[in-house]
Amino acid sequence: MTENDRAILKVSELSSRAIPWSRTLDVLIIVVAAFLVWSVSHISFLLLGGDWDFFIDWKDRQYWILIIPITTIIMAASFQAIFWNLFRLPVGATASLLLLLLGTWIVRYHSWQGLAYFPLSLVVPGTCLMGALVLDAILVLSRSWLVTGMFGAVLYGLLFYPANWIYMAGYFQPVMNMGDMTSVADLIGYTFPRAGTPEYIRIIERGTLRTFGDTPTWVSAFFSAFVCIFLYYMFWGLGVLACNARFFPVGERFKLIYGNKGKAAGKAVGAAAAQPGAAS
Amino acid sequence: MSLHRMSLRRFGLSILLAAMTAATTLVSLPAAAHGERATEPYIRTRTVHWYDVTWSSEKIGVNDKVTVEGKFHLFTDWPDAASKPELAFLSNASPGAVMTRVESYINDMPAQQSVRQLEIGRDYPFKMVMAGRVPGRWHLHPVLNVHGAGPIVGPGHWVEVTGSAADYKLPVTTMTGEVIDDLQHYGVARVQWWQAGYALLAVAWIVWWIRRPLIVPRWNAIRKGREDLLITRTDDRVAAGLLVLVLVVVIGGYRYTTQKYEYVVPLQAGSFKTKPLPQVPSLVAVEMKDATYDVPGRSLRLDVEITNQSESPMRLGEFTTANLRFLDKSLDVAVAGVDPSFPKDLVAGSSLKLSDSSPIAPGEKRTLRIEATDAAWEIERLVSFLTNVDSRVGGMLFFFDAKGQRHMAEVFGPIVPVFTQLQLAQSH
Amino acid sequence: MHNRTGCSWRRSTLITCSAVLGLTLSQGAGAHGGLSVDDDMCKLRLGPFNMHFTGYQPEINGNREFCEDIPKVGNTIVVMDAIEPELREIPIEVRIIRDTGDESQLDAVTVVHLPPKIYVSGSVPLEYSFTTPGKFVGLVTAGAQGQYVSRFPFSVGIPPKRYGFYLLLLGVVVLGLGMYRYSGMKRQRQMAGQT
Repeated sequence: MTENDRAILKVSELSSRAIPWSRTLDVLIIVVAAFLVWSVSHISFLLLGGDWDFFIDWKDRQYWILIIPITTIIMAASFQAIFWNLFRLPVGATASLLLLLLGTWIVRYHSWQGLAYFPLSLVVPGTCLMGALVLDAILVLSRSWLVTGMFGAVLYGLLFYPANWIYMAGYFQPVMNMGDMTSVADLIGYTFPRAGTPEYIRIIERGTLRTFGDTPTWVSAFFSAFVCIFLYYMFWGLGVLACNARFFPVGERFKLIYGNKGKAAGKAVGAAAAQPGAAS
Repeated sequence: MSLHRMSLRRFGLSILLAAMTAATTLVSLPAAAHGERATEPYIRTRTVHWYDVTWSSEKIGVNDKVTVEGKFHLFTDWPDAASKPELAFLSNASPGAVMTRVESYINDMPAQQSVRQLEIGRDYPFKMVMAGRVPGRWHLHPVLNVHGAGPIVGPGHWVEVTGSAADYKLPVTTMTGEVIDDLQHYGVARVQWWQAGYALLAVAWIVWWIRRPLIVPRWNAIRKGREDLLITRTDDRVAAGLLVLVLVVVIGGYRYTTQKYEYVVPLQAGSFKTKPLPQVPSLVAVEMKDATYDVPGRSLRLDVEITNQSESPMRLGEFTTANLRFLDKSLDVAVAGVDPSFPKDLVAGSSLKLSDSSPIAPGEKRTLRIEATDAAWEIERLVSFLTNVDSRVGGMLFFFDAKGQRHMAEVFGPIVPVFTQLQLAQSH
Repeated sequence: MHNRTGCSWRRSTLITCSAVLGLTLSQGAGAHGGLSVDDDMCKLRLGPFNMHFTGYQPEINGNREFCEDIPKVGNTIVVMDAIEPELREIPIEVRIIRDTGDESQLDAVTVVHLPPKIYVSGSVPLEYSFTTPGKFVGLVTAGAQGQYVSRFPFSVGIPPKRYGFYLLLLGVVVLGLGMYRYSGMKRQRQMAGQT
């Protein structure tokens, strides 16, 4: 235990008996919160961004780069708001994206490969985890949701493509198939048939986005960054609403055990929590 | 009966029911097949008619190839509810990637992408080469996915794949010279290592925070206004360091990758066009006068007016619709027209019944009653005319001339379900 | 308390850095003679005329196009396309020489020479396999008396100095330090507010 930890415990006025129980509570809540964050992040991503990150031959230069960051920042911002406002913990975004990545890989092995026989090369996922780390780091440094949204969300949107291109580039090498030039990703998608997904269903770049230079990649990345800003603010606000203490009544006995002096103290808890953004 | 015994019985019954339910869900059902029966009858009988479909073998090893080839005819009386084949994709029906696609063609044009503007009323030859990948018994059909109409499934044949799934390998060489040992696993390790690295940073960051007194202490500290204790200067240093580290790793990694993979291509989104088979002048004119479906008799009865516009006498040999084939078994050339590899369950057991099976003379116009009777109508779920919004039926008639050459004609028209007895019909 | 001089020192450093960044990233105007990127197109200025210049190294770099310097040694194809129609009516001569500093004896240092010829299609192709890295000079002459000349030095197989990447890394470090400093300043303000 560091000096800082001791100082926090002193300020929190927990009795020496309550401290180990407080740690037990921490562990329980971490486990429960992890499952909650995991399931909410995973389901929200499946509903909003799903197809674009399922298959290697959906990872195009226009829509993939746009859609994945904007669908994942929703959960990242909400959980950041909740953990920051309640506990000043800057781990919401990281936890959301890390658990999403873990869940995604489990599903890839169990369901895509195990049940549907898809090869892993067809279903490798991308991740916004690096952007989430930046988002959390900027929140610590600025301690302001306004600054985090302005710079953190922009970096979140911009970092997705380069962070994932590092390991996806190999899939876009040119290869010949039946006399036509195509990418390795297209070849994988063609070779391993997906019964319900005809080729024309793909919503990928059709080449109509006029760009500076050959590729719409960075145009899409900047647009994604731009949209991320607004979604960040919107869902930070939703996160703040979600952690209003009015919705979480705390029992009197619980309060007594953990050193809150009964009803009067309880009122103060509610009041303090109702102004979550006060410090920013 | 005493209350005690009754509740025991009820208890026992509910256990039995639970066990049965569990048993049905846990016991795996036989390999998936015949999903095409879920497609509406008006799509299966009036859109794509598959014919001359052959499978090169019934049993292949892992990595061995099987070729499915044949032709399909796009029906003139295409239903309103299904989009025209402006955009389509030649595919196969199989449960996941149990077999891999090696090549596919529509009239010799490579069909990796979608095909545009297929012409209604015309015929297209297709070819698909599949390779075995997962051992098992799989039902292999060609499928034409039509944008706006859905998958239109062709006839299916059981293909057994023997061997071990681990033996499947697909080596590929890129145009940049990189040799890929096995396309199934290509690049996966690289993705996993990098993402594990990212995850390690993330776990380290999270542990940095959750190692401290967490929920109640921090909650109380916020109430007391002592946030300076919660986020310390050390935390600032760590966060700044993390920010710089993440950006440096991403920028450096990205630069390294773009220099290593300079020559990359985007996902190919184009589609192709292909020509249909040359139009054969129709030598037999067919017009449907009446069509009924005898529900209990499982018999489709068509009254058609046939005009022989050729110079050779014609005999009707086959009626086919929705992959079902009804043959006039008395006509040898019609029976010989069924490839030995064609699935037996798609060829009706009973013969096609004609009111007059004598050859139609050149120039003759004859009204013929055709009866196609088989339980397959019900098994294949083709007869929901009572509940359809579009009660029209369609099919192909195959005529054979004196030389044994085949001539195809479409037949289509409204159909009415009737409930007469089979005996009455036979006396017609 | 804030160190006022410290603050302004940091500000001026930032401004100087951005200026340097801007200067180095901008294209050196005279560095490549008559050849430069203009309006997203690689142009060769030939007196009052212009030609579109494209370099290819198909065996090495696929269908990537180059302007000015050739990245690697190997088989190189250069195609110059006339922009003005007048260029299709006058003879054009192309010569590539090794950059020895001495252009008095052109033949001695020539590696590629296309004698004067009228290119009716407007497209002047040349192909050469560079075997060693080095500095070269391209000389394109047009006109009956060779009155229009374009001289452009270029290098082959010499990796260009790319400052952009290192400057970006520097920018990242500056960003990290800047945010750390901002955080500190905010803390001090908060403490000052509380006392």
